Amino acid sequence: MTTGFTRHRRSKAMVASFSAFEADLLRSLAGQLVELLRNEAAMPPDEHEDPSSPDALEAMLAGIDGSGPTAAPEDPVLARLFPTAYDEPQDEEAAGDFRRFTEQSLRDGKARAAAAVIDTLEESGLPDNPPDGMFIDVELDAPQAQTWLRAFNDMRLAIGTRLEVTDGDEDVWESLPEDDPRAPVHEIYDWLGFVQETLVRALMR
Amino acid sequence: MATVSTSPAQLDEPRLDETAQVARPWVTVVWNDPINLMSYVSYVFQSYFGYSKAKSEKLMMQVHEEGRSAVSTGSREEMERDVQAMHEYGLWATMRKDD
Repeated sequence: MTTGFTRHRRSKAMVASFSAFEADLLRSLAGQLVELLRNEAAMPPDEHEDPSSPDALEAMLAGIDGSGPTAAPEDPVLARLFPTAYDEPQDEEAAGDFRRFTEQSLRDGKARAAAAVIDTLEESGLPDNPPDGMFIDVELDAPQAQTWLRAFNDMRLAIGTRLEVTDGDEDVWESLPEDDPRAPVHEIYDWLGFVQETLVRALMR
Repeated sequence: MATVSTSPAQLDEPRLDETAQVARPWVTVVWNDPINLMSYVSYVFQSYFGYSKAKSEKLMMQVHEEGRSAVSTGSREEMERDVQAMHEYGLWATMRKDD
């Protein structure tokens, strides 16, 4: 199991060694995040109706021309990734405008960060079907490390929101029966947190 | 249906009912959530706002213990930028008029 990231003394790069299983898992989680962000397109509801209409083309440009969605996403994960910016009831219209102009670019940025994690893993030698016993050594410069940090955080936000984690609930997760389907997911969530923590510490040194 | 193209800056023009209070600044509030790592939140305050380590940790602890913290103050446009940046980092941030 990986011991996480450390900062290389001379090159200053953030380095980590992942088992093939861990690297493959990371690729899969990042891929799922990209899919979630790109599949449920951020479009105003009326533009879902006819994909061949000129409106569909406009919707592809959402966020550039201010035609993005104004309402918060229904999926709790997406709602957490794209919070409502103005929290006071009288600012509801401003909140809608803010979302219309920003949500699409936020989505794109998050999807690009997750895709960059996949690219780095594959450039570091992760094959399609990694054999057991293989290790993937990852080396990140500072901008790459910042991208990985954001992607790790978004993966944890997605999984943690699905699991409905709360502050101080460690006992609940530790006492789950082994056959509870949430148990392995929470283990992955904890592991991501561990790796992210080592990356933050390596970056701040 | 898409509206006629407008720039985000136009959103920031005060509406008539707000002209009396345009001088009132806005604040960016970061809220506690059970997922973000304390070290990461502190890192975000340091790297985005350029706050010292001590100030960043103080704000982070305030978020953690009191449930929220006002992390920046300024014009509405500036706070929209800060809120958007916080969302890029994955922090749960909102903005409101200072009270």
